[in-house]
Amino acid sequence: MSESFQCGNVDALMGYLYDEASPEQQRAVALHLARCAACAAEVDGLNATRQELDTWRPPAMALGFRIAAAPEPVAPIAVAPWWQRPMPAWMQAAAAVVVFAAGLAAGTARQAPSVAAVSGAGGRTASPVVATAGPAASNMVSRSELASLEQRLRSEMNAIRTVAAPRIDAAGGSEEAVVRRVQALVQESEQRQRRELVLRTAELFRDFEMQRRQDMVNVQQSIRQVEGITGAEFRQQREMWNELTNRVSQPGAGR
Amino acid sequence: MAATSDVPMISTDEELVARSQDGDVESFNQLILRWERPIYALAYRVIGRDEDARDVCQETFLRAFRALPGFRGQAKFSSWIYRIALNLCRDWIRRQRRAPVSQIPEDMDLGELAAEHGPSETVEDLVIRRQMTGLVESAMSTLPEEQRTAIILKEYHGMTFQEIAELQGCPLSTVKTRLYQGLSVLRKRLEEERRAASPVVKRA
Repeated sequence: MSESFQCGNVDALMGYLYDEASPEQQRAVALHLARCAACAAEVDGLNATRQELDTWRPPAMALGFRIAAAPEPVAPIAVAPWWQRPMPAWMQAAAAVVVFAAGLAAGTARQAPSVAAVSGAGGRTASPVVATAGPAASNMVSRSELASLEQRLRSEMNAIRTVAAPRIDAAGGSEEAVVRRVQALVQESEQRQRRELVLRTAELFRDFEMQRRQDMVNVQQSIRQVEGITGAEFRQQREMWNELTNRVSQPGAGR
Repeated sequence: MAATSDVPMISTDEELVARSQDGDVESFNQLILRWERPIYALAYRVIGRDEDARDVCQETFLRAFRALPGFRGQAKFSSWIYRIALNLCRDWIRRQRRAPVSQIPEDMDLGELAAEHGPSETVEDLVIRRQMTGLVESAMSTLPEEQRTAIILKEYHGMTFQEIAELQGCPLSTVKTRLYQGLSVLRKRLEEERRAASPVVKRA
């Protein structure tokens, strides 16, 4: 086509400058620039300006934007019953302490009778030789009581067991009856557990008290021993001091 | 043009957009990684402040993320976020109610410059190198916003006249006029400043 360029044709000039014109237009502008010094100077000047623009860089800037993922709806977790769930650490620690305490109590309980026997100086019914053996004798009484209580509980438990078993065998009636039976069983079990707990607690307290008294005796004995030792030492030191002062005063008198 | 099917393929913007629209936030973060530098550079050159440019950049991607369900591929993703960014820049400029502030230091200490110049570089070279960016920036800040934006999109983002016309919402011829007028003013300013700067350096 017969494209031609007129001075001041901004549209064509920009197309030429940014290389966004048809080949015909490009050629037409190039032809014009070869002949028109003013237009050629302008294009040169604009190209130089464009090169200068290239030196402008934005300052370094830490970017790194991120869209945080929206919290996804948590799928309902099947909650395990409490007995299937793992035990928390504090609970395990508490259990360990209870077991340890129970072991300790059992240990003192096993130890206690022998101590009582020693302090009782032979016969269990003998009148107390040491003052601290008095309460031990009363413990003996409670021990026999406890033994009888235990026996009674055993027989009761056996009775419950024999009563409960046929009931279950006889089941087969309505659900209501089953529920009532289960409730009765639960109640019985609870009562049994309560009784056992009372028994154990009483035993524990008694053992603890016995051990405490024995410890008190030991401590008193130790204190007396220490007092004796310090008394002897004191006496010895006083004697040494007297001797020393005598020796010091003698040469002083001689001078 | 080579077959890319067996090479670990870099996802196109369109693919990442589609995946983002399906709820894959990571894909959108990849788009951010790809475009945050250009968007920041655009915002910086248009409004002239680095901290505010970063805010505009961040806001651009936040808005894009929120508007993502409504993006139907009627435009390229890049054009879409450029439009968002330019709108935010315009809002910022309106809020400031003043010309973008140039961040060039007002007075350059020539003695300081002389102390730091290397043996192969004259003080004159150094000053020109140091001042060039500042000169362009200050010259650009004097342009009307439409001209400045058109030049920025053309010179630093390589957009076509058509793309700029779409972003600026004006005819092609207007874009070319803006570019021509803007470039002509810049040429004049830069030549003036070079003339003004040179004698000072020679005296020093």
